[in-house]
Amino acid sequence: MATDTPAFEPSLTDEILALVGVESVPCTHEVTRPGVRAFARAAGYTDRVYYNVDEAKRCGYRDLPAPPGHLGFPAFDPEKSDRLMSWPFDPNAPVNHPFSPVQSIHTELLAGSLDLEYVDPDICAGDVLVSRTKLEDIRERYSKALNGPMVIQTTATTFKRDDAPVAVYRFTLIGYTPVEGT
Amino acid sequence: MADQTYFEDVGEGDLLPEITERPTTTQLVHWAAAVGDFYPVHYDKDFAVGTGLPAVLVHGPFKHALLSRLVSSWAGPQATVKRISCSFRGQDYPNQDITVKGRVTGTRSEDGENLVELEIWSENESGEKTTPGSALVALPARP
Repeated sequence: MATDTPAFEPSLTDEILALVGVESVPCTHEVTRPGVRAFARAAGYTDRVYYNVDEAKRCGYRDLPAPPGHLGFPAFDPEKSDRLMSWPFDPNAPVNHPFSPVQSIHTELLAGSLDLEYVDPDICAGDVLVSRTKLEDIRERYSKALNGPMVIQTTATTFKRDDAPVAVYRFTLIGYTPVEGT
Repeated sequence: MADQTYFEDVGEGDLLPEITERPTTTQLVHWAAAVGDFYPVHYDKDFAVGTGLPAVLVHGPFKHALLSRLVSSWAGPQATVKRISCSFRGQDYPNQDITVKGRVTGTRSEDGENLVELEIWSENESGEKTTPGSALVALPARP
């Protein structure tokens, strides 16, 4: 069948494709009062329950509640963390966090989709969550808009507290390398 | 504290009170620091233009957070947000209005929970849906 899709040199090797199903090392995320306030402020929340501990406890929360989407902050380690994304990054590990492995294939990244499913949404300041990221899918195709190939990957990051799941963060990321003149 | 929405008061087709934000680059820097995402396409114009973009980009997960705020603010403090999903179909830029909207697409009681399904989306200033999605929340019954 005829196609008008230009040929391109595939960047996904058998080794990369074999990473589907591979899980990262664990990452610790701390849910803190300053972190909850910073997330709520950035997202535009004005409800004092996200800022004032007394108000949060008056409303029945253990501490400042994490707004939907806030799953703490990766514990930064200057020797191990990714400089741009703050998550732990081991160049020798095949899958590190929701931005790998596509981050090492293409220079530019765009968010494709985000699906956050809560198992236990009762997350408050003081909680410590542990995540593991699994590569669920990775594929490559030609993009007319980008005038070149792009890699589309989906990762599922499961967050647990005391070994019990609290949320699954499924993120699709698009990687591409700009072509001059586009 | 926000108002509470009760399951009995919700019906298919109901619209959620929309929220309009006009994020500045300052707000995007707040966001970057809050989530630890320091990818420069969101705050360095020269970098963004170098990748072929017209300007710095609003973070996709920031728009997910706006949609989450839309849903949680409407649902109220006794509600449980169970799932929020969206696709980043169009790009949004700072200093332009982003309006998040939603409507009820279904209600059901299941395993002791009063569940409400929602269609949610964001629109740019031209009325284009840049971030379509869906949500599932559990609402309390009216006391």
